[in-house]
Amino acid sequence: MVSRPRLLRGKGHVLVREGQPVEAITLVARGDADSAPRVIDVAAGLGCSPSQVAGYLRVRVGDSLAVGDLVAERRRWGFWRTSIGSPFVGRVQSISDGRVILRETYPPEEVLAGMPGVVHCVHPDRGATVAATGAHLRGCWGTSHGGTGPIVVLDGDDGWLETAHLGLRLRGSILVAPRVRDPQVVRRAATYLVSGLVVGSLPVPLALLCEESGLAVLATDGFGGTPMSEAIYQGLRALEQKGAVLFGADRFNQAPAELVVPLAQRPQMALARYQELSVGAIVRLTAGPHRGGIGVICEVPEGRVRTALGDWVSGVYVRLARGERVFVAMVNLQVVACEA
Amino acid sequence: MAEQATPESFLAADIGSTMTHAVLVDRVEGVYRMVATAESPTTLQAPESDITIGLSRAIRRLQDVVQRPLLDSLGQIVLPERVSGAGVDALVTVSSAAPPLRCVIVGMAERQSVESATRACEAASAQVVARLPLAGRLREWSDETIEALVLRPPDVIVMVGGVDAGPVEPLLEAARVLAILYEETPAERRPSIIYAGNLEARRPVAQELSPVFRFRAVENVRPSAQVESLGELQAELMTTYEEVALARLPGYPALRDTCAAPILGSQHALGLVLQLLGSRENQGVVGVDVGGARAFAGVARNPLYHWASVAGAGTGAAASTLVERVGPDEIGQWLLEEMPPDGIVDRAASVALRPHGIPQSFEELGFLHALARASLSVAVGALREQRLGWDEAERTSSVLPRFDLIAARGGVLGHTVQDGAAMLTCLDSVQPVGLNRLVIDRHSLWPQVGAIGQVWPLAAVQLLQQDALYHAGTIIAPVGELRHGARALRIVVRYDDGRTIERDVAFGDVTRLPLARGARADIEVYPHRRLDIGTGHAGQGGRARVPGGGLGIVVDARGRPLPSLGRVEDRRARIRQWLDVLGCDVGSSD
Repeated sequence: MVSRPRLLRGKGHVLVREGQPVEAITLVARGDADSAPRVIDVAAGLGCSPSQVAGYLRVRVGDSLAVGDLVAERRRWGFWRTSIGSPFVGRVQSISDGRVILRETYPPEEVLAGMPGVVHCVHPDRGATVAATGAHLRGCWGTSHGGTGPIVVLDGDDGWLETAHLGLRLRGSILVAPRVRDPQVVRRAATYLVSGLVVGSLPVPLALLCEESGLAVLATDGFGGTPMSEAIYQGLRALEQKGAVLFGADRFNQAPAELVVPLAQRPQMALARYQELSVGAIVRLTAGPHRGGIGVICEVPEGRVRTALGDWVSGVYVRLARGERVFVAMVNLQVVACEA
Repeated sequence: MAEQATPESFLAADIGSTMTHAVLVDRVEGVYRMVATAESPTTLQAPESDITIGLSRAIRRLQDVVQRPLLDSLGQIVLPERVSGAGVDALVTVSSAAPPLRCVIVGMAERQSVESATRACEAASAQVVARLPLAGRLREWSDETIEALVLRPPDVIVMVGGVDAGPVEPLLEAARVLAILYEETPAERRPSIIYAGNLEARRPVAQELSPVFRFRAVENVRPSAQVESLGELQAELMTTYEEVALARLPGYPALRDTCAAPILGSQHALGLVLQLLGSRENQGVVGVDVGGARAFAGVARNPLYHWASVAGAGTGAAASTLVERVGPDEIGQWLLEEMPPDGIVDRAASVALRPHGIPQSFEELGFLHALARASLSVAVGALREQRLGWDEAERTSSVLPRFDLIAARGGVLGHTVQDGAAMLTCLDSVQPVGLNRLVIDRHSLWPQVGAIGQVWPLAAVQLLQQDALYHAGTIIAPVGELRHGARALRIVVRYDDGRTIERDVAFGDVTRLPLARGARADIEVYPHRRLDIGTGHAGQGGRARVPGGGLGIVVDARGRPLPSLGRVEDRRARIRQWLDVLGCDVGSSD
């Protein structure tokens, strides 16, 4: 079972109940309408002193205004007219010193379920957690944008995704590639309306470009040129052409970017987040000389072990893909897969 | 705060932005001693989103270490201590886990007060997101400004402006405008307002604002054109951080209800410890703290204490921001291996993504220490800008004044078992002068000790004397510059067992002489006629009885201010040599 909280930034009304089946487009919560004051400098607009403004006003405190509604009007010699219309939809909050302060009303924030599933739990005034059966991948970094579409796995040259790999046929897809470094790839993906990009890593300037260009991107390993770990890559390859949802990172609610692939039944290999570290678990090394490597836990020692730097730390011994056995501090690894 | 009934045992926790540290303190033969410490990643973010979870994990580790039940079956702390020995009598907590306060400065058009307020905010770890002029009044504030103020309200608005006895009307007008802007904003989203302006305007501004906002008034940051007074504003920002930002942490209400004393900001608590240490030293103490999200430097010289805490200059979650601030070259100059600027930016961003990671190779440790040097340099620079309570010579000097003690802490320094790496990082960034001692917070204990001191002063003093200070060594660092390789000084060390060592130290070198922790020795130092060893007179020698430490006596004869490290190849060779002298095995990796 995979789940994803779908929360408003502020308070609002939750429109679903626990256990309710939802579709991707089901409205989960609607926020309270927000507003901000806007200043209309009537004195400046009419070319008069603040003390004269009262005589030209056509609104009172509390009036609701549509765009273009008359706020103030000044007639000279009966025919020459200067008027000020409301530039916003809103309500007159106050009038003072030759200025009208208009409270502009914004449309309320809305949060959709984002994926088919059921409402796992409701967060009062904020939204709900939606759960579904399927595969789930939590990114260590992602843009704030989301997307949906079938998964398409690209091999890349030496793992690098290049512009030559992209074409209009990929429109609406979620692309998976080991790594990316070329800004043109990002620009082209955005131009071709690619729904999302899942990569192992990318350079920091490219990450900023992804955010600016509105592209949904999830990085599994971080920044730089580390390729996507083979276990994740193969796991995603097994899900090729399946419909997936790429949730953008919600920095306000501190939810990371995630890829969810709704499935009719549980996948054979589960991508784990909080699996107890035990012998046999497949792990990714996130620091140390073998950073980015994938291995299998072969021993969980009792107590702490002294590293080469002299620290005594909790950790496990990991057998790397090429057979090397290394000690890794607990905080420097991440379980990427275990038997479901 | 009044002293509460003294407990037999207690837990003290420091919840940082990256790690949560817990320490178990118990009475051993009538004296409060640290029994054990443990740490666990702070659980600020989803899916846990509750700081008490990380704290429980740290306490569970503590429980495993001491083999004493501290948590019940529901994971709650057993309070008070049972006859069986399970549990503890109290919990005390400090925290720096909340993000920095977002701050808007509203000030008169004249620059001085706004600049002073900016300095106070930056030194108090508040992030200045906007500065708005007062003189233009509301019609001069753009729609974007007003929208930002109302839709993304800052945590604090600092109002400053005018010398005492200056004009009142502009400040009053701004107060009216702010009241109108936030009239319809729900109370919980309204910012706090700290007024630090013209004394005459204080009362009318308070009357206008206090019905609408959490309002505090402090001393004018610029009571006159020549006088700057930042202390009260800094202190109020710290209080606001504790009352507003910490209170927003997920899990805070439950934690607050469990604690025996109010939850202090870690830096507030650290300041209390520095003041205690400073009160015991003639020349005072300079304290530095390399945090994950911010960097801190404070000076306590009886009776003065002032400090600077710079948000976004840490070595963990803020590593990216730090590199952006100082530039990758500043980091690269301290690395032993070639790393292109882009690589440094990517590496820092990766550190920020996984701030809980610990280095397992010297290359990784070296990168973190390069970040730490930059981080501390930023904090020390911010502290130097204040120059409060310093005499004229100290004010005009390009280096910090002389202090007896350098007190260093933070994940990078505390976790580094290789004392030499921590020592060199402190020497490079703090650049102490004259005769000093370096103590390190090896067990991440000092903020907790500060908080403990608020309720049980005796326990705090005993912990500080017994367990909290790791003596890394005595430092001798002359001020001045010579030709590289020229004889900088001669040092004579007379040990208590009758042995004597005499050593000439060349300019540009770092040298170490043995003196074990707990031992003391008499030293005589004869500097070159152009070097000052802290006496205030170049060429004047001196004698002292000094304590030992993990590294013994370290002579840093590279001069002050630290000269440029030269060409890349020379630089790397020199850093490698200094680390080697200080006992670091730079070639090791796991």
